[in-house]
Amino acid sequence: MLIKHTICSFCSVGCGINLISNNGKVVGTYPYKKHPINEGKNCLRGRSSYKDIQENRIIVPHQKQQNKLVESSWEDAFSLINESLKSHSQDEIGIVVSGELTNEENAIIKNFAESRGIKNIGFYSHNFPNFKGYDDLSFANYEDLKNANFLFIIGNIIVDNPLIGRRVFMAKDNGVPVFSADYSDLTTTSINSDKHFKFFSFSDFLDEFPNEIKNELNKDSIIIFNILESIDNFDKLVEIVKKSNSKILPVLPGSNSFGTMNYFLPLDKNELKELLSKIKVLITVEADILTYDDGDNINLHNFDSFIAIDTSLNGTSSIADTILPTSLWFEKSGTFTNTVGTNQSFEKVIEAPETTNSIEHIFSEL
Amino acid sequence: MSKFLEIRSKNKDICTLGECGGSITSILQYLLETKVVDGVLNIKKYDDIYDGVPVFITDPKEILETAGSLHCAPTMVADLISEYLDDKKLAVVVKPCDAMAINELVKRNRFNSENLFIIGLNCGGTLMPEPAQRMFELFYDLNPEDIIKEEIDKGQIIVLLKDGTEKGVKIDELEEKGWGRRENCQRCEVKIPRNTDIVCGNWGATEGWTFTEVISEKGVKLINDAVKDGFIESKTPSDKQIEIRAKLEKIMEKLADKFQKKQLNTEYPSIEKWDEYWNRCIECYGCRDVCPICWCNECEIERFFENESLTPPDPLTFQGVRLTHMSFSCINCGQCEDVCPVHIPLSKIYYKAQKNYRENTGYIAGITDELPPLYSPENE
Repeated sequence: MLIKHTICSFCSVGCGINLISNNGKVVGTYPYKKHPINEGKNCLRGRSSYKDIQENRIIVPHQKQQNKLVESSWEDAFSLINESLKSHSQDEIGIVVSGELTNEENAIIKNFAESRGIKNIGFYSHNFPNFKGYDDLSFANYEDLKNANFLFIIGNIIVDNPLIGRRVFMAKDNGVPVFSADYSDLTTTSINSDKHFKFFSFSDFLDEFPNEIKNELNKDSIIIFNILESIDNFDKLVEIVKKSNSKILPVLPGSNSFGTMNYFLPLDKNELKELLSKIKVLITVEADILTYDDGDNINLHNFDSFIAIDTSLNGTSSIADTILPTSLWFEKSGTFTNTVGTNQSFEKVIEAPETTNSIEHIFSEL
Repeated sequence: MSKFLEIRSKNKDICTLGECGGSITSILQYLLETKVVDGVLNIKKYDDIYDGVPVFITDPKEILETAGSLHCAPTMVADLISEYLDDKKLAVVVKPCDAMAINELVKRNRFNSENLFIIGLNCGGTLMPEPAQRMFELFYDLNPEDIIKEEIDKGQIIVLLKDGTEKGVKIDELEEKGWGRRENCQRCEVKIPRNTDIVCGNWGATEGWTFTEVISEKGVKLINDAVKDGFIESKTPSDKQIEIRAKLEKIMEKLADKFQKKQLNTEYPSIEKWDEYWNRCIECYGCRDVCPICWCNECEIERFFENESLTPPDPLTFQGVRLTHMSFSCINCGQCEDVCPVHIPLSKIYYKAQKNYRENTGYIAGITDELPPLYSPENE
């Protein structure tokens, strides 16, 4: 039995978590009380994610033959992929990554794409734009939550991102007023708010932003949100934030969405669809595209070649022509950048199965 | 053998590396080297002195990694034994809360204590790692990174710096301002865990020696054999030393009693405040999952929520079931509260319930040898 520190891979908050391994398998979690972000507290999804990501694990390469996935050797898989890459122009090849890869992996993939002249590359960011385009915006960090004088929450942050919720309660305990808004009027966040606003359309809500909230916003207040209907929502929020000089705390979906923005273009659903429509060869890297918002409207069947680099057999990888199995988060070392821009490195907890390969190795063979 | 002993390592290096003469380090080495146990469960410094983490060791050389004491280690090891190590012959080094949890689990047949050497530590309490570092900045005017060692002695939390200097601040002063030890530790009334085989500490000890109370037959044999094999040496403490130790224990117990009155009575949250706290519950099951007493394979609580929408949850059902299921066995370890993402002071309500139960039945969780009067395993 061995207990090791790591960083939770479930969401972008960046909590520390200890994983317990026994005989080379991850079997449980243990509170990581020294971690400055969460001090040993983790949410249920964070504590279960080591189990969830091992479901439908795929550890040997697979290829589609007569519409069926069959096991293949790495040599055969690589040679087939390389043939297909050679027979297509760089503009016909596209790569979709996810916000859950490490910064080091992103750097490797970016390098690969640049050296091949592949420009169709990006990741689905659930409508969050690249923060780099908003230099004049004031982004809050976790410490700021402690010193805020008003918090406005959009989305069910207390349930979705409880370790930010925790800081909301710490602020509340210091007498800071908290308002919230959401599609529903009965959520754990709403019942813990001093005032709650229900909306049907996020966009309309921002267009007719209530004066009651506007009047509370100032330079020491923070708007926390984890949902966006479209990239326009963000721009509308930015308008409101700028007028009041307040800060924002966007809570991104993936454990490394923030870090991934430093390497790749964040795409909203239309941009993702457009990218997919332009290419004939698709490489996904741990991107389960069909689970994305509106993913059921996406057709992944018409590529000359579809290569899924993934850890599990999921809706997306199971329709690929080739699946290349890679390491789970706790089988590799690397860094994640959390939603407030903090880089956190983590060490491998257990070895990956010998029949899988790292992202680094896979891209060195393509 | 005398019930009270002073022991120390016979290995000079360990003697200086460990706390109080490296006795425990050497006893553990004895147990591993002579293969009396398969492994040792102890606490080691992971990244730094604020980062005590349980470690399972089978190589006697690695025992040195666990030498010395750490207070920023609000750990719980009892459930690690039942989950992962119940098939091993094991030596485990425990705080009183660990020992009490082990007692509760052994009573429930979760593992066999025959296979276990339990080495207890006198415990004045632990500190939460993050607040401890802030406290050293605020009250000691120090950069926490410059501190290489901390100890609790003579009513002070004392830190040793890289440059060899020491600084101490009175615990009373720190705790009056809301810092210091964890709340659970402040009110914990078990300072010397006697539900163990031996219990070690520095109270009453001669400098460089460990004061040891030998509790069980197994403990007697352990000390005799470790002495015989040349791992440790022992001597008999004076009556004065025994008296000093007993006096310190009394003082600590009195202080705990004072904190109990404050935390569980005079400053106990009002009904309205509890309503507010329960509203926060996100049903993450963190309190249940970390509780060393909770172990049912099929948990009653989940049945309540199987087909229901969880938003917003009915936290009272959730906590009510837990309260009736385990509170009589609550040992006040505080793990539930430590891991609660939304800061509900859970262990106050559970421990208060155990204290009431104790008054009515005489059952002391983690100490009394029989099962709690109401407990019937058939129904679990």
